[in-house]
Amino acid sequence: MRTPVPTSISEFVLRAATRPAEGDWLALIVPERNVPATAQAIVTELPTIAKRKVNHISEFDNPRELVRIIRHSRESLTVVSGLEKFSPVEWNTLDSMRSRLEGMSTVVFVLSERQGTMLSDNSPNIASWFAGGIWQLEDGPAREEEERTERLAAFRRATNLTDEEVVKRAEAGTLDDEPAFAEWLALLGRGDLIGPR
Amino acid sequence: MGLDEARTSARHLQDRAGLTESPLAHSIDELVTEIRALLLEASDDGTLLTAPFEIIPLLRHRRDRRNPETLTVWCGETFDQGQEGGQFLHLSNGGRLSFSLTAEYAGQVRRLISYRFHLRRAAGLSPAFLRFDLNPEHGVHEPLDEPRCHLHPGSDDIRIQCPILSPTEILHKLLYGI
Repeated sequence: MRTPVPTSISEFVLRAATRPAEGDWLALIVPERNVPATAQAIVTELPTIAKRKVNHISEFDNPRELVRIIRHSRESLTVVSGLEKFSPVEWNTLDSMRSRLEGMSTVVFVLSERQGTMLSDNSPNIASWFAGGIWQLEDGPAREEEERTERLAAFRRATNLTDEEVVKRAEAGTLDDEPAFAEWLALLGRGDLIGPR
Repeated sequence: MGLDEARTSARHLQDRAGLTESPLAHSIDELVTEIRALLLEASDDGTLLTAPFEIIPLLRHRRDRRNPETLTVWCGETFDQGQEGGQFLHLSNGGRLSFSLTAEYAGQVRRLISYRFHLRRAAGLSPAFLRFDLNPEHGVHEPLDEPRCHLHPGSDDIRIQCPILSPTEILHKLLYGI
C-alpha cells in the first residue's frame, strides 16, 4: 500500500466531496478503535459539504453482500466501515468480484492499518483503485493541544495577561465581560468560571 | 425620568424572548459542519477569497477538558486591531473576518455563551469595522450602556443592542449583507 498522507477528518471530507471524477475510491486509515466514530463523523459531514446523499455501509456478512449493497447505492456517495472482520480470504474474494464494482460513485473505505495492509496484500486490484487516494488520520489530540497552546499564547500576547491572572479575576468576579475571556477560560479547562459568580 | 425609562426599556429588550435564545444546531458536530459548509460555499461562490484548503485549518473547535459540554470554535486571530498580516478569512470586497464562539451542549440544553464576529472592512470605508459581540451572562452591566448582545458599528465604545443571533445568521449578514 502506498504511504498514506496525514489528514484531518474535515480535510478528508473536503477531498472526498470535491473529487472531480465519479468512481473514485478513497481510503482513510485510522486506529482500529476509532473506525466506527470516524466513519460516523464522515457520514455526518460529507452530505453537507458535498450536497449529495451519502450512504453508510457498516453491516454485511461477507464480500458478496458488501458488493451487492455497494452496487445498490450507486447513486450516492458511499462510506464503508465494518471491514475489520474481513479475513485475507474475504479480501481476496472481494478482489475477484471487482468487475461488479466498476462504475460506482465515489466510495470511501474507513479502515484500520491492519485491514489496509490486508487489502493491499489480498485485493491488489481493488487496492490499485485507491492509488493517490489513501489518507491517514493525523494525531488529533496532539494537533488539538498544539492549537490550544498557540491560541492561549495569542491571548496572552494581545492582553499582556497571564492564564493565572485571568483565572484569578474570574474567581474574584472581576474579569472583563469580553467574549474573548470566555473562550480563554474554556481553553484553560475552566468553563465552570464563565458566567455569573 | 427619561434615563430611568431608557434603562427599563433596555432591560426589557434584553429579557425579551428571542434575545436570550437563538436557533442553534442540534449537536456540536452539526454546528461546526454548518459553519464549515457555509464558509466553503462562500469560497466557492467567490464571496471569500480564502480557498477551501485554507479555510479547513483556520476553523477550529475544541471541547473544554473538564466540562466537555462546553465548546469553543474559532477562526482566525483572537482580536482584529487593524494589525498587518495575521490569519483571517479574506473577502473579495477587501474586508477580512475573524470570529470565535463558546457554546454549551448539555443534553437537551444548547445555548450560546459568548461570541465575537469581527468584520474589518476595506481601507477607506466607513464604518471601518462591524463587530457582533455576545458577552457571557454576568448581569452586572446596565443593558442600556452595555447590553449583553450588541453590535459595534465601527467604534469599540458604541454598542447597539441586538438579538442573540446564531453563528450562521451572523456569517450570512457579514458575508452577504454588508
